[in-house]
Amino acid sequence: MIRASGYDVASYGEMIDCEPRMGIYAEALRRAVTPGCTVIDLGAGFGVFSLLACKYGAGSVIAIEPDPSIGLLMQMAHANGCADRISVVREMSTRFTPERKADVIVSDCRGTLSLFEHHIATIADARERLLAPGGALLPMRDMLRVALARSPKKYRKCIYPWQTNSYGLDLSAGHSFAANAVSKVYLKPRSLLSEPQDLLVIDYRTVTERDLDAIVELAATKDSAAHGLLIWFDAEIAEGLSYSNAPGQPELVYGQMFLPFTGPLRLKAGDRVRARIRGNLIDNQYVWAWDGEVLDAETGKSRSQFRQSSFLSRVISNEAAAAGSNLAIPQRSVRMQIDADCLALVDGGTDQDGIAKALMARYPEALPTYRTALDHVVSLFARYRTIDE
Amino acid sequence: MNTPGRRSSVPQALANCEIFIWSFCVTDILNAGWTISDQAIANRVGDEMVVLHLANGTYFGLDPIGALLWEALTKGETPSAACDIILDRYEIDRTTVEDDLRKFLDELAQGDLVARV
Repeated sequence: MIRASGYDVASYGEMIDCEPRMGIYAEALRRAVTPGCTVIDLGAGFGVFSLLACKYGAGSVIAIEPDPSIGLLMQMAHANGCADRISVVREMSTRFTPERKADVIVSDCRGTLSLFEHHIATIADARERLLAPGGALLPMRDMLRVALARSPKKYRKCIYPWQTNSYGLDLSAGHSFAANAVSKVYLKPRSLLSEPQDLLVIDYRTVTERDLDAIVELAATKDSAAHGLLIWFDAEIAEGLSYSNAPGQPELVYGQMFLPFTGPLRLKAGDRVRARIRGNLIDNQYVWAWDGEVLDAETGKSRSQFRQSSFLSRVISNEAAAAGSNLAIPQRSVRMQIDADCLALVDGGTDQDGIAKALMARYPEALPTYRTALDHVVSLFARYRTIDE
Repeated sequence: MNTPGRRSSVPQALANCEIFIWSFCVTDILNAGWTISDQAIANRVGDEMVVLHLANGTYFGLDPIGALLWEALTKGETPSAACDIILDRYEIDRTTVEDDLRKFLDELAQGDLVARV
């Protein structure tokens, strides 16, 4: 029996149909690839950069991608006449060591921003271990930028239904959670209430720091209510080849990140918002914090303060927090015993059907049907399923 | 807990410091000023709280009494102010509450979440 992976190929299609992103990446690859060179396609998806690298003359391409989507690559490689030059590694790049280092490493493992999951650490590791001296890293550099923003439409979800709703319910307990939730948006230039400021330069040729801690001062350009901070990145894929996610630029797959204020900041032109913006990678995700104050245009004095974090958007129980602690003492449960038995039944000969039936017989209350037993077996083994091809 | 018995162990050579030491003992950490670290973010759900240390990614779970202490410190109050509120709300004797608060403050300080002013 083969279970569906649930992978959405269409989302990779959208990334290829995303211009000018794709065209600039392609041109950067074309310039970087020399006849016979080695290219690593890091976080390859289904491997479109691998196919392009071959088209531009690469002698060998290694496509690294743990997601099953990479299964499409060899079919496409045959269709494009380059299957003999491509090898696939279904594994995390940090666990892979090539026989020969790459002359070019191409990747796009960003999310809405360049600070996304383990993106920075992955690139830094690849640069140190997988890239030949003098090799090219694509992208080369990202610049994070920030501005004050006004968007009643996007801010609505901070207000409704928490502060007011049509049902006469007091849902105010949810307001502070909603008002600390960061979101992906596409705002227009008219939404900006300040000139953008540089927040962070990420030079992939040297970067090692994965966290952000920066202070910016944003001056309001007009009288208005600011609803939040807007952060985006400008990308420099290679020298002279760049694109931007700034409001007013073509809408790309990344979007912009909106950090709302708990309440709108009433600003006069010339007022300044001094903000400390932090992004810390915790438990595989970035926790964002934005603290600051409004400095009055006339007096220069602090008029109001804010202290917010995406951590405050999550309803977290003490039990859940304690479970993540190094001091937590796990207690044996039936589920753990099932998992232990499941792994112990792996003998290189018994199929998942046999393992599921054996578990179902041992744990009739926890696994009352064949379907629940098989689902359990499949999901457990999926954690270990990485294949080098 | 700081007591007169502890004060009596002060060497004679430090007798000139006795007044200061006595003052320190009486002041106690419960009457001292404390600041919340700028790395600490407190997430309250109901009467419980989870505090995250941003820089090192550690979580501290605070029960309702711990949450009362945290809120007192956030307002710039001393731990003894929280102690009075706790005694009003819960049937616990003062000595137990004070001992627990001292231990808890020590844990928070070791976790770089609070510091004495």
